[in-house]
Amino acid sequence: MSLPKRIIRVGSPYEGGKFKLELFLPDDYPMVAPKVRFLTKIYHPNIDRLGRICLDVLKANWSPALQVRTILLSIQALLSSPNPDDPLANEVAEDWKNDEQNAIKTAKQWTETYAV
Amino acid sequence: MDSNTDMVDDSLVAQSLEDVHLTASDSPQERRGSSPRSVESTPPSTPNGYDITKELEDVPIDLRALVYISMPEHLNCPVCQLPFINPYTTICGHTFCKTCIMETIKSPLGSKCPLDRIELNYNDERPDSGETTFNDIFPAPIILSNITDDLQVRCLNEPRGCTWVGPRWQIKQHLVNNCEHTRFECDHEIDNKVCGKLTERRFLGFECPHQPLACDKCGEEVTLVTKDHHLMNECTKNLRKCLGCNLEFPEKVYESHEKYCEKIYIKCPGSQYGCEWRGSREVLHEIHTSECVFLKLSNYFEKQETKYTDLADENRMLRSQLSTILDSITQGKLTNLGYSLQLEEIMDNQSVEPFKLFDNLQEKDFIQLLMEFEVLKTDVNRLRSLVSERDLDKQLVTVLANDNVQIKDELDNHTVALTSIKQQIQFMLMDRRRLRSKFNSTESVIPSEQDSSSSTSNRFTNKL
Repeated sequence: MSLPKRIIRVGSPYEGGKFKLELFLPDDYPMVAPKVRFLTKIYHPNIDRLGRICLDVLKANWSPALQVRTILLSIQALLSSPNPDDPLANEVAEDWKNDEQNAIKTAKQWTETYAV
Repeated sequence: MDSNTDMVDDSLVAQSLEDVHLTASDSPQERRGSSPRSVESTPPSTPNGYDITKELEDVPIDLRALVYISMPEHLNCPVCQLPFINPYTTICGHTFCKTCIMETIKSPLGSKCPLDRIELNYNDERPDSGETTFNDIFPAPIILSNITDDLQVRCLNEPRGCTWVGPRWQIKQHLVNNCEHTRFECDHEIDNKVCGKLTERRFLGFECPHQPLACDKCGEEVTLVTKDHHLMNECTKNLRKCLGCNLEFPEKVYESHEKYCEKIYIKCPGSQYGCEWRGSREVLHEIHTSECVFLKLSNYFEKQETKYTDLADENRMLRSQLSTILDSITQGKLTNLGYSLQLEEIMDNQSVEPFKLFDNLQEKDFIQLLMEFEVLKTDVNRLRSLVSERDLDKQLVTVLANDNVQIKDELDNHTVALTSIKQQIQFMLMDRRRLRSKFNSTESVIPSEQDSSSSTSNRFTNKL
């Protein structure tokens, strides 16, 4: 499946990283959402340390008209715009709110360390 | 945080993203296969073909397993991503397969349109008649069914070798009545027992195709059904002559021989780029490979080709994305479906960043392409100069050939002259001999030697 390579905004701390994800399509798919989680460690306020992703379209806002492709696009978009006001990883979200520059720096370091 | 990553519950059968790519993109019907499993989709078909084990009437056929010759994107159901099967339209103007929209409404997602999440009102089965009526969901215009039913599909038995292609509405008729590869239960009796094996229609005849036969070539035991497979893959006596080396090989190894035979005639690997050379593999490796200009350039050509296809793919993808985004913007229907950003933000980004990005990208690519074009141009010029040098050589050769012809003519003239001189000398010699004999016989009568010699010299001068 071909996905745009440059969807992550230039200057994002996750730019250039290769993130591995796990995708599980339940029996009822596409009537229920696929289960997606990050296998690569990532420093992001909406992704917890187990790799679970806080994304509306993966839960309440799932629609059978969405596809694996669109889900992956949504995840790429989430990486471009972290939302610390609706956190899943609380500590990360706190860091993000208190000192965004520093948090972005940490995220960049994590990307360079793990997402290669 | 570090140590817990590995402790995630892995009990779900999970695949890494790469695996999902394969299964998800290669076969949409497999991916979606489990979803709308109801009304029309309970077929007796196996993954690699179609079997009839029950009555011939009312055999269900899994239309979702069909392979389409072309799938116009606009005729695809947004849920199953396949051309509509019995399409129904919602009050909000979206169309789905009947089974797909019904499944959605029955699922925990509730009665919302899968595309814009508008609440859909519908009445469940009427308790009295058992008939289902929908207020907000109704059959799509018939023309849509007609268009999708006319789409060209391949036969479900294609994996078994059927080459039939036809409109979707004919597939059932084809499978049940015509297709030679549809399997039936064999109803012949062997030893008072019904055979019962699933057998393709083409093998069914007056006799049970499962009766053992002897192979024509090797005598091994086969049946009508397994004969073709045996001849092609197992039989050691089914020989085929190689056109290159004139040796005979069993069919099962012929293909691998053909790949390595040194004598067989093949095309130059550079033929796809224009080389017209043909010859045996031996000559190709020993001589032609080092000479062929196309082969030398083939690496470069290949690189260009992959670059070009990559760019074309990227372009197509960007274009489709752009058009969907533009569509949703113009229709005012862009919700945050699939994006975590709010509508305004997305529109902002659309209008400023990505467009700039696309522009830069195109310009950059354009410049790159231009540079490549220049490189190609110089290459062509170089080749052209080479060709013109060749032409000069050719002219030289013709001049030489003309000279040759002239010299040959002259030579001929000389030979003619020489032969005439030779004849004259012979004549003279004969004359002299005759004179000498005369002189010898009539020495007394004949005048002095001086006279005779002068007369011969006279003759000689006369002759000349």
